[in-house]
Amino acid sequence: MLTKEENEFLCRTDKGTPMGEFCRRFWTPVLLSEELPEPDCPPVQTKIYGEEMVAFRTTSGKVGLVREYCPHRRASLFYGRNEEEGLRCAYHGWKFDIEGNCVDMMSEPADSNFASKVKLLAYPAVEAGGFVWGYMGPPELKPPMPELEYLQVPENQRRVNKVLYESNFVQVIEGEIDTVHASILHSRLDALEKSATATTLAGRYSYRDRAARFHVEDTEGGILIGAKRNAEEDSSYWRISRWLFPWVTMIPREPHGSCRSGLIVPIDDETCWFYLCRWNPYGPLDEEWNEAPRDGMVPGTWLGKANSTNHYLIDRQAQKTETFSGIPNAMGRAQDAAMTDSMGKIVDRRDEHLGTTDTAIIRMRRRLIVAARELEDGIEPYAASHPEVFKVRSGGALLPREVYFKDDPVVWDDITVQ
Amino acid sequence: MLTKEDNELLTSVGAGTPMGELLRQFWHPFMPSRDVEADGPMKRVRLLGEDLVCFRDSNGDVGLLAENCPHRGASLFFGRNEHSGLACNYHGWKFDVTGACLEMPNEPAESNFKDKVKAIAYPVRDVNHMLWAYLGPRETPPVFPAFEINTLPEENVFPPHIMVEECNWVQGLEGDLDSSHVFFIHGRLREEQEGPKGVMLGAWAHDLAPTLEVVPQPYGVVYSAKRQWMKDSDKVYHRITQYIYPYFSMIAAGTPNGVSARAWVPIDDEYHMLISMRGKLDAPVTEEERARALDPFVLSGGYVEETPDPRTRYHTAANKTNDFLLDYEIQKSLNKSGIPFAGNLQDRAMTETMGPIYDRRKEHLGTSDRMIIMVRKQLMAAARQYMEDGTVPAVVDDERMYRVRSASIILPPGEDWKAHTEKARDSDAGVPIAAVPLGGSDEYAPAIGKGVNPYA
Repeated sequence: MLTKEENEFLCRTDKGTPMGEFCRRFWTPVLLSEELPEPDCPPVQTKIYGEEMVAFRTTSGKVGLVREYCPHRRASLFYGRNEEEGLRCAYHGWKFDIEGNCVDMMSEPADSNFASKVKLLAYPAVEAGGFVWGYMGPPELKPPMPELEYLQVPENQRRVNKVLYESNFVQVIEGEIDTVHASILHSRLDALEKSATATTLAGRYSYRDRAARFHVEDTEGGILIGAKRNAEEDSSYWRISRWLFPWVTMIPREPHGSCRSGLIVPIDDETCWFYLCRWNPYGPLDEEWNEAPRDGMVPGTWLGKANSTNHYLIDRQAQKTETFSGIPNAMGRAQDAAMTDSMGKIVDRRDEHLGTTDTAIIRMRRRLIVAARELEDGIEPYAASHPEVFKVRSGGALLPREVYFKDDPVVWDDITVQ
Repeated sequence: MLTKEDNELLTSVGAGTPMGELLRQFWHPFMPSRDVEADGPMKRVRLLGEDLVCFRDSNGDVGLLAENCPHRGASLFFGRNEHSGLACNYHGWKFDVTGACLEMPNEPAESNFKDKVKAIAYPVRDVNHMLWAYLGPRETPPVFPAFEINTLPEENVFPPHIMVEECNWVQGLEGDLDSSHVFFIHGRLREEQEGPKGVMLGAWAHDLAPTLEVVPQPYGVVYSAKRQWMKDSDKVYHRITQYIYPYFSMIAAGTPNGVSARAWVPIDDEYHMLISMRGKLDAPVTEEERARALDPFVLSGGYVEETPDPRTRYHTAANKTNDFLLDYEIQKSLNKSGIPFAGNLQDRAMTETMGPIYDRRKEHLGTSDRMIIMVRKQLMAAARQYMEDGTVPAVVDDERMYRVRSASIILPPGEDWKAHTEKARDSDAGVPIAAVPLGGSDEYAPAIGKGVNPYA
C-alpha cells in the first residue's frame, strides 16, 4: 500500500516532478529508428515524460529531437519542412538545426540578427539498438549510454517492437517483475497436464507449484529477483528476473537461452511505451516467436488490436475451453494490458492488498522513491553515471533444493554479461 | 431556484456526499435478471459512481463486486466465472458473491492471507426479472421494497426495460413529476388530427394549465394535477402521481389492470438509467407482449452496441448526437415535438439538453412546478437529516409504505380527490385500480388509439 502522496511521487514524470527529474538523468528511448526511415523524411511527433517533441532525420542522416512548438508563436513544427539539414516551420519559415539553432528567419529583414538570439529547445539524440535515444536532463550531466547487452550484439542477433499501453508506466513495470502471474494469466487450461512432456524448464515446472517464494536482492543497477518453485523431489526451479533503473525489466528465461527485456517509458502520466527488446547473446536470433507481431496492431498505430475499446477481445468460450484468460495475447500483449490498464490510468495503491509474491514490486517502488528523494537532496543517481551496472541478464535454473540461485557459479555466469 | 451549494447537495451521488449517503440507504434496481447467466460472462456496472462487476455464479446467485481486484487492482471483468466464484485473471484470486476470497493460488498453501482479504461485495436480490442491490453500510440490509410490481406473480411481470440518460438523475425524476408538460412535448397539433399509420400523433387536452395539489407523505410525496375535464364540462380530471423515496415514480394510472413503477437510478453524477417496471394485475404477460417489451425502441433504431463503458448498455441509437431523430416535417404536420414516441425519448430530449447537471440558479419555476419544488425540498431535508443524526426516511424500514398506487379519476366540482382515492392509492385495500379508462376522451387515448405505442 502507498499513500496518495507516495503514489503521486512514484508515478508522475512531468518536467519538474521529482520522478520526472530522476528519469531525465537517464538516456531514454524516444522512438524507433525505423520511424525516421530516410534523410529528410517527414518529422514524427513524440511525447516522453509529458514533453511534446518532434524528431526528424536530416539530409546527412543525423537525428534531431526538438520541442514540438516553434519559439516564434508556437505553431507545431510537425507541419514543418524537413530539408537541407534542418527543420523549417511551415508558418513563417524559421529554420532550426538539430542543436536548436535558428539558421534562417526569412520573415525578418536580412540585416536583422534576431535569428542568433532565438533558440529552439533541443535534446541530444543518438541511435542504438534500433532506437533513437534522447537525453532530456541537465546538459552538463549527460551520462554515457547504458551498456545493455542488447545494444552491444550485432543487428542479426536482436529485434525490437513497440506497444502502446494505456496506463501509467509503474504499474506496467510491476506486471513485468511479478513473474508469478505468468503461470496463471498467461496459462493454457491444459498447461499442468502438458507439463510432464514440456521441453523447457518453464513449461515443466511453472504449473505444479504456482505459489513461488520470492527472494529479492538490491543491486547497484536495480534489483535481482529469484522466484523459487518446487520442481522434482530434490530440486527447485528458479525464475530469475531483474529490474534496472529507471524502467528496464528483464523477465525470466531458459538457462543460456535467448533474452528479452522491456523498456517501459512514460509518454505522460497516463500512457507509456513498452519497447520489447529480444536478443540472442550467442548467435543469430532466428526464433519465429514474436511477442507483439506488427500485424497485431491497429494499422498506422502502435496500439494492439485488442485494447480497452473492445474488452481486449476477450472470448468467453476460449476462456472456458482453452486458456485461463480467454484474451488473445498476440494483439499488443493484450493479456497483460487488460490487467494493468484496467487498474485505472494511475492505480490507487491505497486500495491494494500485497502478498508474498509482490515482494519485488514493493522493493522496486522503494528503490525508485528513495533514489528520487536522494536526487531532491542533491545526490545524483549512481546507475546513470555507471553504465556497467546494466551489463546483466535474467535467468532460469533447476538447482538442488538447498542451493541459493546466486551461489551457483554457472547461474551467476549466465545472469551477468562478461 | 437553487443555490449552487443546494444544487450540488441535491444532485451528487458519490460515496461521502450527503445525497450519495442517503441513496445508499435504499435498495436500487440496476440490471434486468436476463443480463447475467450462471457461469456466463460478467457485466460491468456503474452505480452511484462506483465501478462494479456483476456475475451469476454456478448456483444462480448474483454477485456485485467492486470492479478492481483487491490484490493490485486489475479488473475482475476479465475474470473467470466458474465453480461458484469469480477468479481474477491476473493471479487467480477467487471470490464468491459475498466477496470472501476462496482461493489464492499464488500464495503458499499454508498462508492465511486469503482469510484476511475481502472484495467489496454488495447484496443482490433477483425479483420479478430485475436485479436490485444494496450499497449501504448496514450489516443486514433494510427491508426489500414491497412495491406491488415486486409482489405480483412473476409471470404477470413484463421484462423490465431501461434507457440510459446522459444527465443527472434528478432532472429525469423531475420530468415524471411535472404533469403540465404532457400536452406540449407529447401533444399533437390539433384536436381532430389524422395521421399516417404508424406515426403517433400524441395527446390532446383542452385545459393546458393544471392546478397542482401536493401532499407530503412519510414515504415521499403524492400530488394531483387537476384539469377541467372537457370543454364546457363542469367535471374535474385528477391525474394523481406518486413519488417514493429516493427516486421512484408512479405516473397517473392509465389502464385498469396495469401495475408499474419507474426508477431513476443514478449511474454517476452525469448519467442515470430510467428503469421501467410494468406488470399486469390479473393475467400473465403473453409471449407477444414479452417480445415487444424486450425491444422497446424498435421505432427509433434500438440500442447502440455496448462498449466497455457500462454507460453504453441500454444507450439508445436515438440520442443527443442525432437530436433524438427530430423530424421537422412531422413537427409541422402531426405532433408538437417531432421526436419519436418511443420510451421516454421525448422527455429525455428535454431533460438531457438542460446539460449534464442543470444549473438550477438559472431556472424560473411556476405554479405547475410545485411538485418538483416539494420533492427537492424533501430529498435535501432527508439528506441533511441523515448526515446530522443518521435518521433515514421511514419507508426504508417499513415495507408497508411501498404499497401505494397512482390513480386518475373524474370528479364533480368541489370534491376532495384525497378522500375519494384513499383506498385507490393503497395496493392492499382490495379495490380496483382507479384509472380513467382508455377511450376517445382520455388525454392519452388518442396517442395510443391512433398509432403504435411501444409502452402499451
